[in-house]
Amino acid sequence: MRERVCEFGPQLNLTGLLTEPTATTHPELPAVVMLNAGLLHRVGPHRMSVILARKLAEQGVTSLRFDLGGRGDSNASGQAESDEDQVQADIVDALNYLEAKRGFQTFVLLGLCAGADNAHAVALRDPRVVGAVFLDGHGYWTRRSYMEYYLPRLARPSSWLSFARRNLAAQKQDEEDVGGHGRRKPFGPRHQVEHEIQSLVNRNAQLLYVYTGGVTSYYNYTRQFFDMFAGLKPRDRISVEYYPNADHTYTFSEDRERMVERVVEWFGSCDWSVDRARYSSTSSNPAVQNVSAEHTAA
Amino acid sequence: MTPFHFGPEEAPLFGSYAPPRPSVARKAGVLLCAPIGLEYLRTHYAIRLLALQLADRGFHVLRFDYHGTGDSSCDIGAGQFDVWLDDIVIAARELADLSGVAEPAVVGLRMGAALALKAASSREQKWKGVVLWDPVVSGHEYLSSIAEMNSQMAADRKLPPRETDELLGARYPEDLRRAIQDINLLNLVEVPDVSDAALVTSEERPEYSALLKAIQNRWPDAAYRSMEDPVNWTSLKAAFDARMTGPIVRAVAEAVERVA
Repeated sequence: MRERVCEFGPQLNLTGLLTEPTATTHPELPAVVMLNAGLLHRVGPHRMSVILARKLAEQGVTSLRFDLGGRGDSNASGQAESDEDQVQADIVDALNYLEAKRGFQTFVLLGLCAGADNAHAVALRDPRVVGAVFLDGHGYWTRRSYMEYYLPRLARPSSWLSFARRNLAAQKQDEEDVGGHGRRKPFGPRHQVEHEIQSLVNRNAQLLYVYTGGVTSYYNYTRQFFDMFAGLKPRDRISVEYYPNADHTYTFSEDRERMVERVVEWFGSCDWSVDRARYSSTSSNPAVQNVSAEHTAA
Repeated sequence: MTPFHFGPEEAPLFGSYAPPRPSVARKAGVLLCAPIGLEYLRTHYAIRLLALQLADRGFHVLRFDYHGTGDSSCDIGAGQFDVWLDDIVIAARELADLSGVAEPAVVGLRMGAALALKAASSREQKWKGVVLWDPVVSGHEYLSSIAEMNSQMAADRKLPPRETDELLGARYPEDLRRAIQDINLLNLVEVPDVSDAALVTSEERPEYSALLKAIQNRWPDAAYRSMEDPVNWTSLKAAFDARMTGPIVRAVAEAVERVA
């Protein structure tokens, strides 16, 4: 395994760590790009991204963990009109960097919480994204999730009021539910998100959704994903895990290792060769020839 | 800012060097020693801001991740406290190579303060001056507080009991706990070869009063500033709260100007 510091983006304003296998890189496999979990810098909660990057490298997989503009060690470029646009532009810059410098044509995005939201948004717009890992990503109430959440709380009178409110809201949820209860930013209407995930499935993207006990307010049983998005078909490219004993930031190493092992195993089990053939290189695009610099470790 | 790897080839450290603004460049360097554990994550942005402010004031600045933390190599393991002390010496040497300044000042935040002083006493690392920023005064109390936060977190989240040496997501093996347990900053300020010191805190606390007394015994002109903007280091709720920006970062930068 070797790690290099890299700087890229329109003003060399984005900083990241490229982790590569010691032997040879495999541009025929997708490169994994890890996104910031909220405002935390690129190492992730409890070094989650560092641990995952080094584990992936042991399996021959290249990854880049980097800071979006204005977070961690990266400067804001101030070029986009909104923060959302800037975030997406920064992620696309990371893909362009890996394509221009290492010849990768396909990518897997990985994000936790807000990082999962960003992975979803960029996966929709960039066909080079052939897979994504969403850690505590999209979640919407289902009938069973109310029961799972409230039944253990029925002894508490305050829960009754909240339960009644949620039940009322549940009746309207098909039209109005924007999900992510307890999250700072709602996910958007469920039917729209389902449609978006379907579009990823339609282009054969491999998707891994991992939920923890840290988000029981919106996700609390293993099969909830397919109850939330009952219309998704086919399902063979969607994998779902639920770790009720893990917390949202994978505080305990036992939980972190379990998640990391699952991601590595999932990556190894996917047939990426099919996808690579589908997506032609965008290297003729001038944006891909982006400015960059690298510093090798020691 | 130039991010880079340095130190032993087989186990590199990650650091970021901020050169001085050319128009005000001075022959002075500052090494920033970060906290450990969850506090490292929580203070990353504040330390970056401080590095930028100091570079803007003309200092050569190096911040870095200790082994087993952040982007540096290795995992937390046996003899970790000694490894961190060695890391500080390696980083100070790197800063000297980059800046031509043999004797830098050091800023130590939380456990970084104890490590910086300990590096002076046990590794003969020479500092021109030290700035102690919300330092951990008692290692015993530090361990107790993070153990308490850890238990509270496990209880809040109804997590099953685990056989682990972890506290708040970071490993604290037995020998590391012993080394931390032994820390008493009131004794550590008796370091040789440091010409000046300053204490900057986010709030008044009894342990800081005792520490100030010890500091002023050792350095009669030592500066002290309390910002009255508590950080709540022992609050689990605030553990991911990115505080410590603006005024306290400026106060630390001003303290560096005095001692460097």
